[in-house]
Parts: sequence; C-alpha cells; structure tokens
Amino acid sequence: MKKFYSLLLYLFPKPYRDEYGDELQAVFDLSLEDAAQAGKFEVVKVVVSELAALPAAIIHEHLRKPGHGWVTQASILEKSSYMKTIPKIEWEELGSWKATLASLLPLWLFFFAFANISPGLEIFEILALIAFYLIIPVCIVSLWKGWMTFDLLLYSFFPITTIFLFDEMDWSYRTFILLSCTLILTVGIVGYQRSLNKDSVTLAWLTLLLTAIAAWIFASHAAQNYWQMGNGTPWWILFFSF
Amino acid sequence: MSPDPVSYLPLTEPTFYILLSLAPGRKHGYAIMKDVRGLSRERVNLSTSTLYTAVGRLLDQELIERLDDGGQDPGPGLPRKSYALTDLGRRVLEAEMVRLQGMVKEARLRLREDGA
Repeated sequence: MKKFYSLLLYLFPKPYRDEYGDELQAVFDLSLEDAAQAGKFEVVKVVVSELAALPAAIIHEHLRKPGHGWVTQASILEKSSYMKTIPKIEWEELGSWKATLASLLPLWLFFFAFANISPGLEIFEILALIAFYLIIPVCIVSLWKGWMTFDLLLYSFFPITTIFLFDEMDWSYRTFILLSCTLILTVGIVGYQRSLNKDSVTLAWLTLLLTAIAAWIFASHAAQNYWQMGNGTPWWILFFSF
Repeated sequence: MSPDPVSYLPLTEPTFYILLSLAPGRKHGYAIMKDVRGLSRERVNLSTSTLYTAVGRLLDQELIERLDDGGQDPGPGLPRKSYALTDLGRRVLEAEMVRLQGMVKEARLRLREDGA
C-alpha cells in the first residue's frame, strides 16, 4: 500500500512533489502503521479516506497559484513559497518553446489517433494505433516533468467534444475538419504559452477561451454544411459557405 | 505594514484546529494530524493530502512557517520538516478566539432572555 501511495504521489505537480512528496509519504506511512496496531478495519478506514481525498488535492495543487488562489501555469512562472526552492532553470523552461512543443504533443497525437488519415493505407492505421496508445503516457510524462499543466491537458482533449459531429461523415471531410480544429487549438496553446512568457495571464486565458470557441463553431458549422450539401461537395465550400 | 488579523476571519474548523495545534510549539505533519483529531474529539479527521493542502495555504498566507530540523534526526519515519505558528498566525488565532467568545456571549444572553 505504501508503494502504491508513492506511485500516486507522481500525479502531483513536480515542484510540489519535490517539496512535499517525502513528507506526504512519511505521514501516510505513520498513519498506516498506527492504524495497523488498531486492527484491519482501521487500516481500511485510513486507506479509503486517504484515497478519497487524494484526487481533490491533486487537482487543487495543479490549479493552485500559491498565495493568490486559483490561476494555473502563471503560478509556475512566478516566485512563491515552495517554488523558491526549485532550481531557476526549470522555471525558465516553462513557457519556452520546448514546453510549448511538449504541450502540443497530446493534441496532435489525438489528431493522428482519430483523424483516420487515408484509411486505405495500412501504415496510417498503424500510426493511428500508436498515437492512440501514446496519448496517456505522454500526458503523464508531460505533467510529471512539469512541461504542461493540468488546464492545458484538459484543453488538449477539447476535440473530443467535436467528435460526435463527425458521426457517419465521410473520412476525408472528417480528417479536414479535425485538422482545422487541431490547428485552431494549436494557435491557442502557442498563444497561451507565449502570453505567459510575457506574464499576461488574462491574455493567456482569453486566447484559450477564444480558440476553443472558434474550434467548436468551426466544427459544428462545417458538419452542418456537410449534411445540408451532401457528399461530394468540396471541403473548402463546407468550411466557408454560409 | 502587518496585515489585519481580522481580515483572515472566520477560520474554517480544520484551519482553526491546525493553528491551535501549533500554538504550544512546532510540530511535524503527523503530530498535527493526530493533535487535530484529539482537539476536535475525533470530529475533524484530516487525511494526509487534505492536511498538506491546508498547510500549503497557511504557508502562503504566512500564518505558519516551515522549519528544517537542522540536521537532527527527528526519529524513525518522521518527516524532517516541522511547522510553527508565525506571529501573524498567533494573532489570527487570538482574533478568532475573541470572535467565537463574542458569539457565545451573545448566544448566552439571548437564550437567558428567552428563558426568563
């Protein structure tokens, strides 16, 4: 159980884990040892209460801007209590191009997994399968390394909300629409990271919000045109016709 | 200028007990957890992660401070960091006590009036 708890601690943001991980583990171990003396029922009680409280704490720490409440990646760029102890280079990397590319990876893996590029060619099917299986480990590694934050991870999965629009649609249209949405969302992620580099939190959030709305409007408009105009209509007409 | 302790009030029950637990002196995370349980007569049972979420917030608010054990071994399995109340934390705790006393006093008066 102690080992399992130490694995769960990897879900906390890296700086938080570096600072408090050992303490959390030590306190958990002591709680468990004390509970073991009181009997099996007490152990189960402790484990259940610890596991139940963990998700909220993990989400809280991913979204917390220490000292000022709820902002996200901006907090990483700012100096605050536990972050002061982190080597400076790590914080300079956040908001950098390296972090931007890492943040984009889940979004583009999602595109390759679901776009169904040229289903006649076996190589694309294999690539789609690889992309599908890479999404989760890549997300975990990116969060663990501190290259992306929880809010950006949720944003990367935004295309899921558009997928039901493509039901029974010809694959070529589906690919183009999903590609366009992915490009719009890419602009959002790049804009978000660049804005944070300039310490402009409002602009960063506004970029994410606007690009998510734009992607949704674009996808639903194109899908609606497809069902009105039918198969065979050139894709650019579906995209831009009103 | 030092912040007004009243601006931190009212405290939540777990926060109140965490600060109260640290009033006599510095403690490790697990000692705080056990003390809070005892002080609240088993009503407030903090899990490890909830305790550290609260501790993180109190550190940010500068109501408590995190101290190193200075190379001393705190004992087998015990964390090497401990927490202590800051001057501001103590003043906030006192202000909360005054607030609670005021509430109890008003309640007593009103209940006595009703009974009379």
